[in-house]
Amino acid sequence: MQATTRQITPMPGTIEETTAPQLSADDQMVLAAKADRSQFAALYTNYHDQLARFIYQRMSSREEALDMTQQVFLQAMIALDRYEPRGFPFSSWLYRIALNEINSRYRKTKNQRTINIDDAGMVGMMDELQESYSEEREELLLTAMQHLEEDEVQVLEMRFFEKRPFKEIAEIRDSNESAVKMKVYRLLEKLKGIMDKK
Amino acid sequence: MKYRINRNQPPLTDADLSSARDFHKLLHTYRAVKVPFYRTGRFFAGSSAVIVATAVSLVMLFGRDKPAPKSYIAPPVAQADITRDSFIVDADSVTDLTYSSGSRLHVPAGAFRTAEGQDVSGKVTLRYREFHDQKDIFLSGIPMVYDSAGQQYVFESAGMMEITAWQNGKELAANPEKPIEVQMVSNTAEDRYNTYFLDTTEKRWVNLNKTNLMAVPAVPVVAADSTVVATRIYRDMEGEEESDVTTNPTLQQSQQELKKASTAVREIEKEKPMPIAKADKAKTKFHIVVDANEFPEIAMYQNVRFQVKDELNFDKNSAKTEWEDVRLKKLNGIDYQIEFVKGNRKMEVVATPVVEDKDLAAAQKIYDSKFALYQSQLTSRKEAEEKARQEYLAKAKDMQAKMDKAMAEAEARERQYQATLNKTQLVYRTLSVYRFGTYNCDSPVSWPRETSVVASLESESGEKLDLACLNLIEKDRNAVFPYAPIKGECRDFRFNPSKDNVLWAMTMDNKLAVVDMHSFKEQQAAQQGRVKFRFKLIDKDFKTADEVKKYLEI
Repeated sequence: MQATTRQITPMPGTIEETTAPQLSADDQMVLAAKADRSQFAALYTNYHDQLARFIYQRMSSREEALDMTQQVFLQAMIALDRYEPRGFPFSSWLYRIALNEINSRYRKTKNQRTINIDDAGMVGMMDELQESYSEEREELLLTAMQHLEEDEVQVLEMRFFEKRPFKEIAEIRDSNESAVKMKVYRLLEKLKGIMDKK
Repeated sequence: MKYRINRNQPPLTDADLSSARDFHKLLHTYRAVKVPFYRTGRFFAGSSAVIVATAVSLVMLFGRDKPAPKSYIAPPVAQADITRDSFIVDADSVTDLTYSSGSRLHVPAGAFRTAEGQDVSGKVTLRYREFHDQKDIFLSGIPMVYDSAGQQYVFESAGMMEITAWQNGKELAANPEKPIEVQMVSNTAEDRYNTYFLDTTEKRWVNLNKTNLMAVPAVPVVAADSTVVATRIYRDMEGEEESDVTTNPTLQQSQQELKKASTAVREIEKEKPMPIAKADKAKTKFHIVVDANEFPEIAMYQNVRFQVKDELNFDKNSAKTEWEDVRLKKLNGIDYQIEFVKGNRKMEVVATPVVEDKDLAAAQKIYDSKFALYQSQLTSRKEAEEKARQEYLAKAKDMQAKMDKAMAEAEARERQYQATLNKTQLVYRTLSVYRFGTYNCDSPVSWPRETSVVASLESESGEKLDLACLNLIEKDRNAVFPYAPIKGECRDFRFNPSKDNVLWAMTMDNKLAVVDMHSFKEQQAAQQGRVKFRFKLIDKDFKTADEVKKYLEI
């Protein structure tokens, strides 16, 4: 985003008008925080709660989730100079750091990765799978989910348990919307296939 | 099951979120862990001065007497203790340091006090080292037995560090109100390790009841930067501290010797005998009594007269005046300026010391004798000066070489650290330094219990080994289990035969003795409750920890 400069008054004490591409509110806050990390407070305030919920969705301990939220913000502050606005919300970048952190935590502690599900999400998935709801089929679905890779689980939980639009999932995954859509449908097919085999 | 599935987990409440929001704390943590010092402008601005200071300090270090050994911490191989690195910091400002392992030290302003409790200003040397594996623990000689309610345990370590501070050769105390924060790299992300401090006075570990695990950063903190090789880390010499250039004995002593020798040469040169001239009968002469201490070159001759140099401008009537004071000043060559004073009246004359014909032979004899003595003394003093100079230069060269080596080692470690940063995500443990000394992230564990035998300790040729210390190491546990051997035997020697074990020991005559994993397995079968362990003896004059570690492969 190169700023352009145009001189408009050929008078002593020349005034210059700077026309820059419109920066989003987030990007302006990022610019301020890059210059002075204490200005990161605004971003922190804006995104703390939603990031905490995002992390907690993937963990079972609220203390651990809240602690990790601080860690993710810390890493964001450290890496902020490398952050470049690319038209995505700043939150997408925070979510990506959070996902790395969560994966890393589970990998290092060798604890089981937590998937938090709710009734509404399960019903939504069953609908997408064109399954009639029954406890038995739901049990099969949960068993089938155990066969998914971490990356696949991420997509499903964002889509069905956090009810995020495809566009946002694409932003978080640094992908494009159609690729995410395709991925979701293939995952559903995969789950269906596993369930039917059981 | 690959995943743990929670159903309808209660959501985070507003109260949860509100109590967790703390930007002030986050900012504080950020400032503590932000980019290493050597990537900051402050470092570049100050680096040359620091390097010079380091160089001077290093030059000053060598040859200093080592402090008395602390018997409580007794490295088994005295010359191969785990080395300390030194950092020079300004006590009055905040400094962020990065150790070669990747550990970070945040030193707040005002972190140091004297032993008497006064705040410390100016340059302070931080000495720091870490112990990460069984080899480090063994070589450190730091006791790792922990007593809890009368029950003894061995520490399984997730990392241990020692930190001390020095100024002008004196050990400093930490300011508990402004503790140094250490983020120590750890080899494990397990959270079962607690924080302990080694109280060397009470000779026991104190449980600080603090957890220490810090979450792993997902984003590498820094990228490699090959241009950043300048570093203020240098390898400290064991038992020696940085001190101020004016007080450090090594270079000062050498410089003093040279200065003394040069002064001696200059002093003797001042005493160079002056040949006396023959008097000119046609010229005016006068006699002055001179101070023999001030003008020995004149006083050594008999019947010396001062012969006026410029006869034409000399007022012969001045001889009739009774002068109150006479001042003599040596000019270049053989002449003197003489000032006669009476009240406000002054008269200056340039004159040459001379002797009459009759005294010339005697004067020449005195001169020859004095000159021979002078030549001899001058030669001897110049030789002493040259010797002092050569000794000084040799010492300086030697120190420079050691300094270069130390700097090269520090740079190599720096590069290694940079490479590590790019490849791995580091696990950190946080430690607040309220007292200088040794801190450990530990979990107490019991000695193995699976098998208990009487261990016979023998050399490979079957001779009984009298061991000064005996340690069992299990491959997968970061702990060193000490045993007390007596006269070639260890009763109640306990180990787990299903584990991969090795033995590390020192003989009474300071030989390293090891039983490797393969040999241990071969020998571990007990016969009538007794096991013979045959040790391989390594009779080497170890100089560094790395040399010893080659023989401690697990």
